[in-house]
Amino acid sequence: MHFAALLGIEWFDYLEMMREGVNKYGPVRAGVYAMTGGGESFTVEGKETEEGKAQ
Amino acid sequence: MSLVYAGVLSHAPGITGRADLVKDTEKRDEFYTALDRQRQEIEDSGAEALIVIAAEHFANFFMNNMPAYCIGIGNRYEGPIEDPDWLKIQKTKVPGAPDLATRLTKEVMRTVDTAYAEEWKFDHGIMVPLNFLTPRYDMPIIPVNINCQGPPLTPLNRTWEFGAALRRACDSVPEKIALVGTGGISHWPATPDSGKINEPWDREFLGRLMSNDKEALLSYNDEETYQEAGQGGFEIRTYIAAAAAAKGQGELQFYTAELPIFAVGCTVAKFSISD
Repeated sequence: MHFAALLGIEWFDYLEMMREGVNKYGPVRAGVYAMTGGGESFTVEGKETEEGKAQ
Repeated sequence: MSLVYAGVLSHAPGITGRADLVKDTEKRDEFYTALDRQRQEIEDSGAEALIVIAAEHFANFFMNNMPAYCIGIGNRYEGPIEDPDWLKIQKTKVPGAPDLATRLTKEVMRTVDTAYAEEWKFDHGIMVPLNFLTPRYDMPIIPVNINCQGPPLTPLNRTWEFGAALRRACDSVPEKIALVGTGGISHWPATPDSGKINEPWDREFLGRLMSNDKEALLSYNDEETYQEAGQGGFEIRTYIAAAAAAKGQGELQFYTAELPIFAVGCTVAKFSISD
């Protein structure tokens, strides 16, 4: 989270990049960052997509 | 009696850093108003120092060596470690209370082994609360960390004993001291699930917390907490320690799950101080 900010990655881009990483490499399988939330977008205030849907 | 105030509040970085992305600005401002009321209550208590029981996020302690408990005894601190433009809190110096913190540490050590630190870089976990509670950074701060990040995490019953030891320590000194626990309840920080909030789980926990029901609070286990409340749920330890220190009933002053851009259920509460 802090490293993404250091690189100047915007919040919604940061979340999307993590999702892309999970799609490409699979979810974290063990440890404190093993995924339990489903990988969906829960941030309704998100920026508008090209289709005009709020993420 | 020298513990004059005890409460809890959320600390997620989005609370300041993503304030401008909130759609429900009325709800956001309601939250900020509750935080400002907490500031006023701390000031009205006459507190001479503020203990902040936080969950440090790899700014000072790392997975290879993270103490279960640590108390800051430094003369002053600096923060935030994060980019000020990202957190929207400018870097600043925060006064410590070395003599008082050292006396508190010695008393805590009678029953709970704690580390202490003379150097401590504050991350959002402390700077977001201070941004609202001591916005002039003129109150001496005693940072306290409970390991909520790197297994093995301290058991909840030990967390309770740590909070009780802090209370005993506060009562052993003549200074008036305020104490807040700051953490999230359910949340999934630094994962693609950031923004998810398990409101029913949060409200159940807050019910147990406000009734200061020790048995009910200590009945949680990390496996279930992880499944239901994410890895951020481990930070309930900071709230439980505050409850143990206060001993009294709580008053939930604000809670909402309707600000997911803050990536946490936003909470403000205070406890009565009981014997």
